Amino acid sequence: MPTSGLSEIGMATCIFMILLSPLAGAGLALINAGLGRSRSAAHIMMASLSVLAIAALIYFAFGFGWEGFTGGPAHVLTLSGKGWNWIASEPFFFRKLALDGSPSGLAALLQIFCVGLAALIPLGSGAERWSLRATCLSTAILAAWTYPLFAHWVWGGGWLAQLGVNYGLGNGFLDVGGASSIHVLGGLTALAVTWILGPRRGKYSADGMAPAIPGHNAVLILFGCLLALLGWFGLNSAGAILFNGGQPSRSVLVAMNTILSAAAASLTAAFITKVRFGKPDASLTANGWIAGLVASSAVCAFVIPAEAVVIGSIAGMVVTFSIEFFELRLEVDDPGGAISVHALGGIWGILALGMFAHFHGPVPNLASGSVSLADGSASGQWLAQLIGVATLLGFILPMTYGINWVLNRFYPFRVSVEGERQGMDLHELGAGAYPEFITHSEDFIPR
Amino acid sequence: MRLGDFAMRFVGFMLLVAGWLLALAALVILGAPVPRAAFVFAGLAIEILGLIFVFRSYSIPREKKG
Repeated sequence: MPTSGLSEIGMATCIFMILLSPLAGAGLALINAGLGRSRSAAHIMMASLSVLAIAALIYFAFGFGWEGFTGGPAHVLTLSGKGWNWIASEPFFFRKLALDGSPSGLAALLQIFCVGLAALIPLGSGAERWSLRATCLSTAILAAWTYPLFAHWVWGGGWLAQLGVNYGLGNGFLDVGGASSIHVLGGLTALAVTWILGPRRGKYSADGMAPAIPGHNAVLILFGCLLALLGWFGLNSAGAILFNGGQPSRSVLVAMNTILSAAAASLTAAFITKVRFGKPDASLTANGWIAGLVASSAVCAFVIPAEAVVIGSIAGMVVTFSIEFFELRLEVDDPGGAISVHALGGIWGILALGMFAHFHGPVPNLASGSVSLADGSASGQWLAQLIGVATLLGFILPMTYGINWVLNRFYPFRVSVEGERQGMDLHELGAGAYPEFITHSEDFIPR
Repeated sequence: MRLGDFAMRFVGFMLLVAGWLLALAALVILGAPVPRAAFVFAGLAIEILGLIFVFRSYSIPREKKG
């Protein structure tokens, strides 16, 4: 059962992996900062820190109460004799949560970092025009309601996890490291925010051109990718142990698949950009790297390394073309490429699990509340994954759009025209990220 | 915001929700694997149509570019 204790080694490995996971957030923050213009770099980092802080506090106060952990108290709706577990009813403020190395306590710790990561994703899309106050408000709602609700369905014994037990669809919806609950949810929130904010001033000209607005620091972007890799090792391994019954030794396969998927995705992106533009593009290669990590999050514990390479390659290809498609054809101004990388990369990962996963022996959707069926082939797994994608698009996207639309009515998301011209650093923080670039008149006064 | 855009956006979001409900209904009502899968695919197709509507409603009018 999921709530049974972990072995000493399992617990130690899990804690180590959970403590690695904040590096994924650090990596994303650096990537978002690097992909923006220098006049908004400090603002992005400040917003990232604020988002992580608010997400942690709000999740502690309310989020875990709605998300819960498998086997805990929950509201269940009965339809045609089947129980639909739709939301947890744990006490707020972590009351009654055993913080002693039990799986539920470890899951709560992991989730605090996961919700912060999900909330960081929209920052890349709203960069250079999304006010700090509105960012914090939007994050509070995401951490209190949107994330916990969907994460409960996937990881907390909710109805998606129980699709196998209730309707014979494989092992139920599976997601090892948060491709759906973190990345697609964050990516769809990014899409909603981008729609509401509109494009940056000057992004689309009247003659139909969309000039590229390059990021200001490729070093930050690429270093962010390396940090993110460590964070993903932690997220994927901890998820495999806590939610999919993986033994600590399974972390080897998980880490191997994670790096291989990222490597294949980034090289595919580099190759495609080299062929198309004559030189490999650093920002698209970095986006490919992250898309590979995102895709690996869903499948890393259930595929062999060669399949991880294929999954990563496809993720890299999807991202390279979709970033351009979103920018030029759909006129969605997404400076960080978050929609393509996280939403599309995540959806691909979820579907890839349905296509490629192998289950040897009794597996392991512990989130469903039982070590389920697993006949080895897990027929119907792909349908469970498809229903998960339909839920993200048909429920999470309209809900997150609606919430942010209402928030925007009361607290306008977009900064003033003057603020955008000036840059978010000076407008919202009163100081730039790189003050030494400003020439002060007193520097020339003879002393 | 133009009224046409608002209507298209509203219809788009309604289609997204309708597609999801169709997929859920297939789970509850249909037992056989093939019709169930067909209805889930139909639900996803409706969602994609809804997405197209919403994206169209957000395309930027020429006079507003720049």
